[in-house]
Amino acid sequence: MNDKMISTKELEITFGDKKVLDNITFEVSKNEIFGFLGPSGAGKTTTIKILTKQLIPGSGECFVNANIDEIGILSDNSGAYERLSVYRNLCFFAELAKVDKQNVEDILKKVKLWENKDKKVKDLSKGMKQRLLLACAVVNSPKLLFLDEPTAALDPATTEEIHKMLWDLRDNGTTIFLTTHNMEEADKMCDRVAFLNKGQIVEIGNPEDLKLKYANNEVEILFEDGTNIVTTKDTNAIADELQKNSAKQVRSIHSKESNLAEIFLSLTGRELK
Amino acid sequence: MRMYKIKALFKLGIEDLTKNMSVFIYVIFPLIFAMLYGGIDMGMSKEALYAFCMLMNLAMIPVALMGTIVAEEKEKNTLRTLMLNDVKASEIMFAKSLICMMFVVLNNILIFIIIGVSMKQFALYQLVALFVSLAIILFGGVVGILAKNQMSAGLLSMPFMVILLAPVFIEMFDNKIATKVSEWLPTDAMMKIFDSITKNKASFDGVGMPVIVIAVWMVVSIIAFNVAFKKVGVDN
Repeated sequence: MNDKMISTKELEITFGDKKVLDNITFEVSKNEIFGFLGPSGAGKTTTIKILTKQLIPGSGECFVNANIDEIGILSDNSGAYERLSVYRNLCFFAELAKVDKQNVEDILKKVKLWENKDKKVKDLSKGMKQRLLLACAVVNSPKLLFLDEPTAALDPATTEEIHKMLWDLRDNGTTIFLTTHNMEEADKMCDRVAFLNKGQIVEIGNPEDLKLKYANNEVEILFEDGTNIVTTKDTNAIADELQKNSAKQVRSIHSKESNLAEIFLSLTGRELK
Repeated sequence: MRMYKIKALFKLGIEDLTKNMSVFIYVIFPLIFAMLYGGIDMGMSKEALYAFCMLMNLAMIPVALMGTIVAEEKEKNTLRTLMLNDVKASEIMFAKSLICMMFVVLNNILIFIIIGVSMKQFALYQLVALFVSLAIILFGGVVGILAKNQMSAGLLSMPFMVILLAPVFIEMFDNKIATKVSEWLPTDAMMKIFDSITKNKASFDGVGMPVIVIAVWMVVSIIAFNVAFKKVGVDN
């Protein structure tokens, strides 16, 4: 159990008549970036709330291998003191976590807010504020970091900076539990992903393995003249097509793998929005 | 409760409050009132004016200020962020109460200086005022928990402020029922203790009933706060 940071078994929760989570079972290993993917209302935030003890599940088991002071959380409900500066806000959270103020400078440099450290939070752009909230969530160097849609509505440059920071954190020993409905982000960031639909996990695994598992067994041959042929992965079929078009020059041959969004759609009949 | 967390919350709370003029007005208003009326002869003794300003201070800071700063933490999502950063609700409320109590004491001293009242039992007055503010400060917490934002906290604290200031106005009318009801208010109890201290030269003779009234308010405020926190606060 020690290499597991999170473990849940048959978690269930119901709000009124609606079963929001149904038989949720998964594990997250140490130093893993685990993506919890699903459309809005699938139960992602509810799962985070149960894991961080903001909600009590109706039934099932839930184990988190970290104390509350070893956890960092960034959610869409996170807030900062708007009349105070970036530096003062982070110093405050450092003080709460008994962290040296020297770390504040390092973290602000990492999230590229050092030049804006004297700016009041209310004067920050949305991207800058999100980076500050992330800085506040990691000021205690957490063993386990929960991120609820951390890059939602951010511009690509800020998203990229946050991704780099998350990889750095993972390399330094932080386990990250990430919820998103951005499949490209999940594919790029996560070591493993779970697809959540209507409160149930419908698939779980490494993104590459999932793409291979749900590959549609097709190969695309692209010729220099711009034409292309799609055939099966069978070697004889590929050879036949090449034989038929021997007059043309081949530019590329590659397998047509599904992306995570297509896999989710094929599994649930729903798009991830 | 962990003192280093309370210290951090207290320092930040003071800094944030002094930069929020729309809320800091609750602290300044009793001082402005004392400055304005301290210089006008209204046929009121300085001691009576001082007591009235203290009442206003007690009605505004422990209830309206406390309620508004708690509501703002909810409104801006910082309350949730704090609680997810291993800060207990009791530590947050304690730090907020400390901030309010500090301003109550500071204002009482400033009002004393502004009005220039000569009272030998000044320390006793402060002590009694401090106990009364302790008895009502958790009602400020209740206002903060029930209010969705700063504006609604201001509205919700209005009835409390009117009730706490009632002894001053009830005195102006000869209504026996109102006078009887007012005897059960902590602020009326405070005025009675002040009166007794002044007349009996620092003696607490005859203050049994007012002390019981203040104690009852203290117990009721603790119960009200716990009920409000369990029913509404946890979810918020």
